[in-house]
Amino acid sequence: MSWPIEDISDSDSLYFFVHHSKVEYDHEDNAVLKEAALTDTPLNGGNKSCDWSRYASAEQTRVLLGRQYKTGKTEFKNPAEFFVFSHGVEQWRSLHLRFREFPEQRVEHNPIEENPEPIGFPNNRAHAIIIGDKSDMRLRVAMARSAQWEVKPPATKAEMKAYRRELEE
Amino acid sequence: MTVLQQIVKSSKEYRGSVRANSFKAGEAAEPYSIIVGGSTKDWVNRNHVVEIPVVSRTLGHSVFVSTYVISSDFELQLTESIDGLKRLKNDWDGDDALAPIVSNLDDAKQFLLRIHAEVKRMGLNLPMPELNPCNDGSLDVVWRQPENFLLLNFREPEQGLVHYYFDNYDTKLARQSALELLGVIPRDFKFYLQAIAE
Repeated sequence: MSWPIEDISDSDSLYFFVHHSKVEYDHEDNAVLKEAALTDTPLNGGNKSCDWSRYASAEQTRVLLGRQYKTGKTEFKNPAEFFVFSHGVEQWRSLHLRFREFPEQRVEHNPIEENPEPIGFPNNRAHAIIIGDKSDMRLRVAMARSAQWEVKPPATKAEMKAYRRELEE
Repeated sequence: MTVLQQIVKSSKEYRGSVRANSFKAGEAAEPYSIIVGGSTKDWVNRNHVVEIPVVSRTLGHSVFVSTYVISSDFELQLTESIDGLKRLKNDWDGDDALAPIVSNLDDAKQFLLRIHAEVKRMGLNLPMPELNPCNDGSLDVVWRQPENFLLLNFREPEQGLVHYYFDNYDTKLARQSALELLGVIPRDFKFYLQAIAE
C-alpha cells in the first residue's frame, strides 16, 4: 500500500540536513547556518528537500542519510558529515505575506516509496519539498537567521576545526 | 606598510624608485635608489615568500631582493580560495549541489580585488570574506562583522551584475540591489564597504 500525499499543517516543523561545510561561526563563536545552504538545488528539480515532523524526528532525518548512496556512487553517505536544523512550516508559507517582494514558497508532502526498496535510495514517508524561487538574498538571510539547530554542530569554531580534521582521517 | 609591500600587493608591473634601505636588498645594501623591474610573472613566489628581481642603478645588473615574507596578503589568499573552489565537482556537499560556475568565481575575484583597492583608498582594510558556494552554482561572498553584515552574490555572469544585501542584523532595515561588475561603485555601496572594513 502506498503512502498518501497529505496536507502539511502550518503548525508542524520541517527538518533539513546540512553539510558541515555550510556551517560558519559568528563573532561570538556561535554556529550559524550559511545563507548559501538555502538556495534551491537544480539537480533535483528546483526545490528544497526536507522532512515533515509528523513522520520523522531530527535524529531520524540524519540517520536516514546513512542509508542513502552518494550521488552517482554506490557508497553510503556519512551521517557524521551532516547536522540538522528546523523551521516551522508557517515560516516558509508566510514569507510572501511578510515581505511582498518574496516569491511564494509552497510546502508539499512528497513521500518517497518504492517496493522493493532499492539499496541506497531509502523510502521516506516524511519527505517534503519547498517549491519556489529562493534566489532573493533577503529571503535566504531571514531564513538562515531563523534556523533552529536540532542536531547541533560543534559548539565553537576550534571544535569544528578538530571535528573536520577527524572526518578527513 | 612598507613600499615593497605596497608594490607586491598591487601585483602590477612596476617601474619606479624605492630606497634600498626600505628593505633588505641583498647586494643593494646601501641606501641608493634601485629600480624594481619586470612584471609579476618574474617574481618568485614560494608560499607567500616573494623574491623580486631588481636592477641597481649603480651596479647596472639584476640582483635579487632577499626573500620577503608577505603576511595576510588579500590577493594571494583570494586566489588560493578561488582556485580551491574551482576544483569542486557536482555533489561536493553530499547533497547534490552544483559545482560553482567558473565565470561566477572569476567575476567574484575581479570584483573583490576592485573593492579591496577602493577600501584601501579610504585608508581602511577590507577583511577576507567567506566565499560560500551555493547549491545552484552561484557564489555568496559574506562579511559577518559584529555590527554589520554584507552579502554579495555572483550568479548571472552573462549579465555582468553583482547582487548585494546589507543590514545591521535587522532584515527590516536591509538594503538590497545589484551593481554592474565593471561600473562605477555608487556612494551607498561605498558606505556599506566602509561599515564592514577595519
